[in-house]
Amino acid sequence: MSRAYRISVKESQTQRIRGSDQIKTQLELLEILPPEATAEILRNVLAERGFRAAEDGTMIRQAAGIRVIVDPCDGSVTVTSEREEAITIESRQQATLFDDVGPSEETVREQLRQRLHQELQQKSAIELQRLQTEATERLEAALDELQPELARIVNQVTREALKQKAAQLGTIKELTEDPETGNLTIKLDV
Amino acid sequence: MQCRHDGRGAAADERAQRGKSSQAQPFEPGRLMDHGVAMISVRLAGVQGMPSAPTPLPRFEYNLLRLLRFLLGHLPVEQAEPLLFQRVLPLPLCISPTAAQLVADTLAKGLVLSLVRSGGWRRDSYLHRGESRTGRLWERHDVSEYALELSANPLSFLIWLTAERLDTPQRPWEPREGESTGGDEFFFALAYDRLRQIPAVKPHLPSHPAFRGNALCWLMYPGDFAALADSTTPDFTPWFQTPRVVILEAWQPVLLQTWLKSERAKCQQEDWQMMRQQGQAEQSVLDAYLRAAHQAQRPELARFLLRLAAAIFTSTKIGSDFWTGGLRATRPLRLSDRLATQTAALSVPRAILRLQDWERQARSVGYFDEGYVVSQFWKSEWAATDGDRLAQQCQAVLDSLDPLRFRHDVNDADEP
Repeated sequence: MSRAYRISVKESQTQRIRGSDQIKTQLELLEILPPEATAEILRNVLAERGFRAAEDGTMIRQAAGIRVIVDPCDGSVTVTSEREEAITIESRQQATLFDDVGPSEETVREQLRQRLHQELQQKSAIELQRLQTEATERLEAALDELQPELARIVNQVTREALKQKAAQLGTIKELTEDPETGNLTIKLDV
Repeated sequence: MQCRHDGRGAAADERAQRGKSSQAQPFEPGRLMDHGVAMISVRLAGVQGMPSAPTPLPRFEYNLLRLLRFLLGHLPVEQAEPLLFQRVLPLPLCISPTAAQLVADTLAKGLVLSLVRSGGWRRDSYLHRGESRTGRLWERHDVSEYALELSANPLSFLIWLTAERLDTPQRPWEPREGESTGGDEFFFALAYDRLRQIPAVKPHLPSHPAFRGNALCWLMYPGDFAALADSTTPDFTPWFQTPRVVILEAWQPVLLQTWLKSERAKCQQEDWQMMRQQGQAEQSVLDAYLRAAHQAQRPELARFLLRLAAAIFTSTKIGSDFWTGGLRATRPLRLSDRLATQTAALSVPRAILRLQDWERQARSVGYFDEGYVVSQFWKSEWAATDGDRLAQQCQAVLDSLDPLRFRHDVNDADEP
């Protein structure tokens, strides 16, 4: 008389997974002053807005997993979103076998182990996908706020460059700024 | 129209003469290829040497001639398709002199006719040695300088095509190294254009040795070559030299039509990966083509791109959806991948911005500067197609894909 018994295989894995996303763009800076002077103005404007200077000359700001890097020399902007997590995934596989018929216990164990690894890989891929989606969603949310801020930075740099250019051309007699329209009027004595 | 053998073909002439007298000497493509004497020249000249009466041909040669007529656009695809999918035939050692003469005659007339029909007949203006010339193709150029030479490759390809199945070949075909001529590439481009109309054959064409390095095939259908893993974009520099350059002049309307069809079909592309591959292939082809055109001081050979943009931007409402509106399938998780795909799809608007750079450069060329005529020519070309408006629309479409692009409606009033 055959006897049935059950084999259970269980495994858990702990791993660090990482999701990231990145976009690049270019600030549209008008060539009012020489590039070096424009870069200096941009550096100052960015410093006022919480950017710090890195060793390679770029300006960096990092908050809530979002890193914004601006290169004042060429006006390039790189926004990176990163998410990293340590996850533990578990999987269990069971099979019933008989002591007198069917495959041997070793064969069944090997099959279970293979299925277990496949399941663990699938679970890991799902977690990675989740983290990647989170990183992208954070990036998209950050871009909504960053886009008007960059526009303001460009405006500020342009205004400052115009003032410096005007000062080079002559003596500034009158300078008026309209905060509603963004208009800047400079009257000079040349 | 005349078909002649040049100096390298003297031996073939002699053999053909002997063949005529005895009617026993076979035309042997294998031997001809070994000696490199199957060189055919096509001239835009008077008609000579027409056969006096029809001569019966073996079935293989009859099929070969029918396939040649199909490749040159003289036979409908429905009649050629059975010939391409028939059982594999034994590769003959030779073809008869009559068949060889008919092949040479059909090629000579067919290639010239194709050039004329595709756009050579148009009364257009093009640059020639730094000067503007107006008229039909044969009025703009001294035709004696523009003989299209063919090597043995087209004939050996035809023999192979008649004997083999293109989709499942049992014997490979390889072109002879270093023999490819402008006429060869033109013939293979025509052949590609015809063969890709057959759905069962189309996927096998880009990797075929006859087409994978053909610059004209790449320029017509860059998307077809996108999936080739080991592909490198062909060099277009020889295409801006005599005699190939006349083909580019005559083919401007063909290029316009193929690109317009491709651009309009993009909004039906649902697969992100395929769209990205196609866009990248188009970008690399246009880069290579425009670089060569700029170096050769032939900006007007990018005319098809300007007219393409004019045909696309018929309204101010054309946005990036014109290209990417069909991307529906599972989208990439990363925003960067999505943007890269959408940007890649807009290869034509990017090319127009490059043409705008040419126009800006042309504006700075003075009367006494070198290249004044070329600059003036390009400026008039640009103005005739309303290039400034096109460039503005192209820039707006590209900007719309950049989530961080400075918007002019944003000012300090937004700041709290």
